[in-house]
Amino acid sequence: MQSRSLILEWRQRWNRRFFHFLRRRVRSSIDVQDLAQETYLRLLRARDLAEVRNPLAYMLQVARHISMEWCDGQPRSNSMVELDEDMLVDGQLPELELDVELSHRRLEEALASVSPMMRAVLILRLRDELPYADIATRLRISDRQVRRYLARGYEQLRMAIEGE
Amino acid sequence: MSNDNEELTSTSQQAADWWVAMQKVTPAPDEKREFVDWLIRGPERVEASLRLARAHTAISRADMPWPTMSADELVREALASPVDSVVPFRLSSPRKHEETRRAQTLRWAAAVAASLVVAAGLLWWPLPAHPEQYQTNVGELRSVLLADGSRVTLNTASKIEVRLGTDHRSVKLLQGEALFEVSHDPLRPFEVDAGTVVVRAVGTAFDIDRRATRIAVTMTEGQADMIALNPGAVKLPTLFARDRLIIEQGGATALEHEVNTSETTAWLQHQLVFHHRPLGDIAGEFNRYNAAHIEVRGASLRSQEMTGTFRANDVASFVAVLSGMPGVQVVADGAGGYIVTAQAAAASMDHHHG
Repeated sequence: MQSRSLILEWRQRWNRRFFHFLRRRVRSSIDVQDLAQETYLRLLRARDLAEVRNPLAYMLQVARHISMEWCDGQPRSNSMVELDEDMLVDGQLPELELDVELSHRRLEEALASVSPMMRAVLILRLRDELPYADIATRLRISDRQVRRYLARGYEQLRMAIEGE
Repeated sequence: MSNDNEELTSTSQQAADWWVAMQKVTPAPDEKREFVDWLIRGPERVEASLRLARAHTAISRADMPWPTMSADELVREALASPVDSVVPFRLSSPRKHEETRRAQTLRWAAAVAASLVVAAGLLWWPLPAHPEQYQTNVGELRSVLLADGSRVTLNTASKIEVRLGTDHRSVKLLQGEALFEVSHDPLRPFEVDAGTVVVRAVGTAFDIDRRATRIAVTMTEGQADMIALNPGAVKLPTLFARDRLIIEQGGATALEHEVNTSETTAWLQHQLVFHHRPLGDIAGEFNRYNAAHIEVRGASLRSQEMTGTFRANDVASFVAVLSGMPGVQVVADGAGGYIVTAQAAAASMDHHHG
């Protein structure tokens, strides 16, 4: 438990440092569409994407690497990044052009507006970081339903943040 | 197509499903394979995933203002709420309803527009001097029913001007490509002016593809006379079904027989069909339909031939095929498009090492 919270804290600190670094370096913010396109091209060049431990985590790392490359003003290299395959899928992307205060207000509003069941699933998972199975047991629903609530919930939160 | 089900949910919803499914250190091999197959089908999928990642980052910030309710309270509240009546409705995304509504509105708008087109045509009937213009934007397809019963279908980025008179029917193809299905009326010949040539028909169907450097007329049914407009131009032949006449800018003509007319009109189904076509041409075809342009650089790469069928708006699949070709490199051009080059230097280096 101790080491887990240490890791979390480290990751959050690291994320914040990374942001500040970005804020300093970026003249105009990176457009998520541009980043997606370049990421897509590099993924196409990766021969066996299904062989990496977690393709989603890998994709996010490629995107992060590209955004760092762009912010650094270095010429885009065509080589594939050397990636740490053990990375977990998690808050790995900078909030490129998001206004933190605004997005937090929108998140609060979105959480208040969803059904009590979805709210419980989202908070138990994202705030309390409970495993899916524990959430399912406590809320007397199936594992599958937890995933569905979570996926729909993520989508709602994303839309709220983007102001849709 | 096997992805019928997939099309029922939006890309962002699919991305959210995968986001949740992939939250494991090591997902199962077939799950990974399925995810990769999904992801690699287009940059919009990568974008949807990146948007989720961005949202996730905002949520996981240390200063995220979570509700202070305890886990037990949350659970109690959730169990007390009428789950069954709420869940199915909540689970279907509000976005999908919106899309359906929008689609319905569009269908209504299209029906109203179509009836207006017919009504307008009837009103203008005795006034031959009044032209009607119809046009399409890049990637658009539009079918217009004229007042005489003829149908004109406009391909991407095309424009026509229609004048229906009591003794003739005249259409100007100002730019682009259109398929003309002419209703039979021997008293009023149907003439399409494509700049350097006029196609005159009584009742027939043909496709005219007007480009900067050449015009191609393909007969899909019946027959039509070709009239050259340039002074001193050679007499043009009458075209019969499955004939194609190509008129180059300089006036040179080429007549082909037994052409595959379903390939010529594949664009009606939003399809592009290529048989041993140079990559430069193929990229040009995609560029007609899409705002994201593909630029193929280098004469030898541009002339390299390829065969295949694509959806006209599916640039991603074409780009995927290109980047899978040995010695070919694809990079984003920073403006939504792609630049395709031969990887000559890298290829020869590989040779030395290999």
